[in-house]
Amino acid sequence: MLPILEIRQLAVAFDNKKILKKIDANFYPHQITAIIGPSGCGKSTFLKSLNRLIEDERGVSLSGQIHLDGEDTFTLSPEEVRRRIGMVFQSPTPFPLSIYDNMAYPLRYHGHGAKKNKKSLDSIIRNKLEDVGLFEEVKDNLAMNATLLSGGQQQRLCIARALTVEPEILLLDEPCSSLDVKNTQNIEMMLRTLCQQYSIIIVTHNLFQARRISHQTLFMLDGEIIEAGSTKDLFENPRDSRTAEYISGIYG
Amino acid sequence: MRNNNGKTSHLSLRLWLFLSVFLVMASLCVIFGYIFIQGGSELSLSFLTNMPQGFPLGIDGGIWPAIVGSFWFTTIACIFASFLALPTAIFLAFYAKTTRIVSLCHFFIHSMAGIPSIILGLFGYTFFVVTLDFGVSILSGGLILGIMIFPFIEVRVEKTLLEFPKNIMQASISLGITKTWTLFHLILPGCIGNIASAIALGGSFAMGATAPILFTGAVLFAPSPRSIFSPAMALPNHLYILVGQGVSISKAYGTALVLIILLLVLNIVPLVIKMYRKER
Amino acid sequence: MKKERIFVWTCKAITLLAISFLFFIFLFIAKESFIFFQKTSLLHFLTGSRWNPIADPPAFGLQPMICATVYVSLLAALIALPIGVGMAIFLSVLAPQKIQRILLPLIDLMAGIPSVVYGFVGLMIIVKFFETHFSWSSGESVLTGSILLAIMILPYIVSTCCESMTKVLHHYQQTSRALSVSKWHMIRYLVIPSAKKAILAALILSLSRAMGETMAVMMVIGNSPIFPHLFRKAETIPALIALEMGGAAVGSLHYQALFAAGFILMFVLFAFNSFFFFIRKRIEEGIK
Repeated sequence: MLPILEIRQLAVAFDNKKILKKIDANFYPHQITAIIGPSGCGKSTFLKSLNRLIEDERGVSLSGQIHLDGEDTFTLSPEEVRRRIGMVFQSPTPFPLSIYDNMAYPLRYHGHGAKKNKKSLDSIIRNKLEDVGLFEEVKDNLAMNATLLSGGQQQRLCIARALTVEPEILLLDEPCSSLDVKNTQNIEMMLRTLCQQYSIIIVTHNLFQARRISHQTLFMLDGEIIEAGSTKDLFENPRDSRTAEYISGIYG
Repeated sequence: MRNNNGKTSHLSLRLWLFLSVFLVMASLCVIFGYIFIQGGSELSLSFLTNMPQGFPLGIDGGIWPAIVGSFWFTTIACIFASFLALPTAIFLAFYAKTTRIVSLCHFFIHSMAGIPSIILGLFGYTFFVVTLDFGVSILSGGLILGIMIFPFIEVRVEKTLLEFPKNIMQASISLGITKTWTLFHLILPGCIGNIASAIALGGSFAMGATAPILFTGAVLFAPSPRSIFSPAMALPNHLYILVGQGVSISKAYGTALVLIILLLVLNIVPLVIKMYRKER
Repeated sequence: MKKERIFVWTCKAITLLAISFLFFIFLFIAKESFIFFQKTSLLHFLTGSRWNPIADPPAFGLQPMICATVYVSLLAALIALPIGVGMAIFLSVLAPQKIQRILLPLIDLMAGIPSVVYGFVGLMIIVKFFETHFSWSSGESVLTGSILLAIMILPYIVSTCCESMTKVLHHYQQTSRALSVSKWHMIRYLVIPSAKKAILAALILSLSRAMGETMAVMMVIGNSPIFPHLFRKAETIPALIALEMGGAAVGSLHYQALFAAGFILMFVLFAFNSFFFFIRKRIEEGIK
């Protein structure tokens, strides 16, 4: 299988302090890849490099290559990269707008705002909300302010919103860490369905979650990828002792 | 172990605090009290809407042209200051590439805030009135007042912009949307209340300033200005003339009261905005 | 993307324009001043004690005005500091929340009163007071100016100190109470010492404000260009400029002398701010 996202020698430093040290990685289409590792190992920085969000921080220096479908993402505009690689954050980030406007916001930017397209706008919004299992819950309240939703609903809304622009890859940075067990379950089920349409990369500190839903797992430590492979192999037969040490917690 | 020394030192502490509070409250009450009580008797519709009359000028009649003049000076000051302050605040909050640039700009803006108002008047005169040949006008006066309140507004607007939740901005960027679009469709609408408050407060400072417009725009007597190139009267300057030339103390109280009331209105605007937003 | 670049570029340009005014101001004032200093020696300007622009030859000695500006401001700060700090302590430590919420905005409102209104009220009350109760021939004096100025800078001192003291309080209040220390003890030995930095900052802020103040002081100080004595009239540099600018023809020596006086004022303020900037750094390092 050809990778949809290839990372070659990616290095990121902040004010000369190295965060990511020459990383190589491959991500495959229609798979869920989990990135695990202790706090501070650079997981979030890695994720933010993939959609080039990291470039907005002051004092950052980048090197290396990221190939999306064979194209070097650094030759594309950051906006184009971010449309094709979407991202959902740790705490839900609903805009201070109505649920409908939250969903319409990216669509209007990317050109679906014309009046005659209102119908297509409505149907895209409905489809994406259904994809995340939110439509039934909010269909009568689309004009309600999104910040009034519960945490789990807000996070699902953010995922739906990210999907409106039809990205190829969806990045999720510990999306369930501020949610309870039920909501976490909902989102995990949703991701498993979504990976039929999209490719998913999820950073998580929850080893059970990684074990449950991902096809591939990457273990990071101190800005490097120590081990990468199919989830089953990595958890049952880790090749590196550091990997074994980290995941040993899962088995007590 | 309790000793008497402890008690007496606390007594002097208490005395000091009591005295301080008394003096501050007394000043507060006296200032506002005097103006409201003495000026209140002068307030009337004719005072507000008539031209100054009599000899010396101002001993009779009203202060209407000064009210209009102050309005124009303040408006031009707010427009010019916002024109400078908003893009500067946006640039420093979102687009400046290094912290060094931001610190440097902050230092310069802070320095501008420290320039005495009379120096601004000097500069306004030699630059706007003479060099640019705008003459003594509400344009010259308004522009220099705008420069005076620019740091005040910029600092507050920048603070508001920086307080906008960064993660929401990042969420918008992650959708492939440009920073500028996010700024206009998400950030600015969210900050507009605070920005308006900052401008209103800045305006209140401009309205009360005498020195910058002393030789750049305000004159002893003028009818309501016809164009931005006309000179005009201004409330603080008119007050100064009434007192300084010994024209009329009672009219002076009236003028002071009108000025204070207008300033109070401008200061209440931010509070009203805050309450309105809380309801939403 | 092109729209974004134009917008950012515009913001950058306007920022540069705004900041350039600082340099314009400095340049224009300096230009006229240097023309003046070519005609009259800087030393004579700074040390001469006679100011008479209409004499023949005209005398431009700024020394009394420089002294008066510094004297009035220092005295005002000396008067205002203890009162302001005391008020701040009361507001942050002793006053209940409700009173704090009413008084603090009221004090901020004091800061918004125009200086010409302060001058007016000062004239009506303080000057009259000295004339009636002390039988002075004129109530206008350095002391009057300092008292008025002190009232004007009180709000800055109160709000700067209050802000810092409230922070200190939040930090230590529980600990202090757990040690069953009385409020007064806490104020004397904890709040005041840790607020030293804020008090210094308040001092600097209020002194800068005081030295640049024009109208209020001008209306109560009498404006005699003589060496300042506490109970006699004096004239500050801002007052000098404000009063004589109207009568000086553009380009005349008098005109340039006034610019030079403004330049000296700016220089004094700059020197003063830099001095305190370094002292503050020393203190911060000392505290560490």
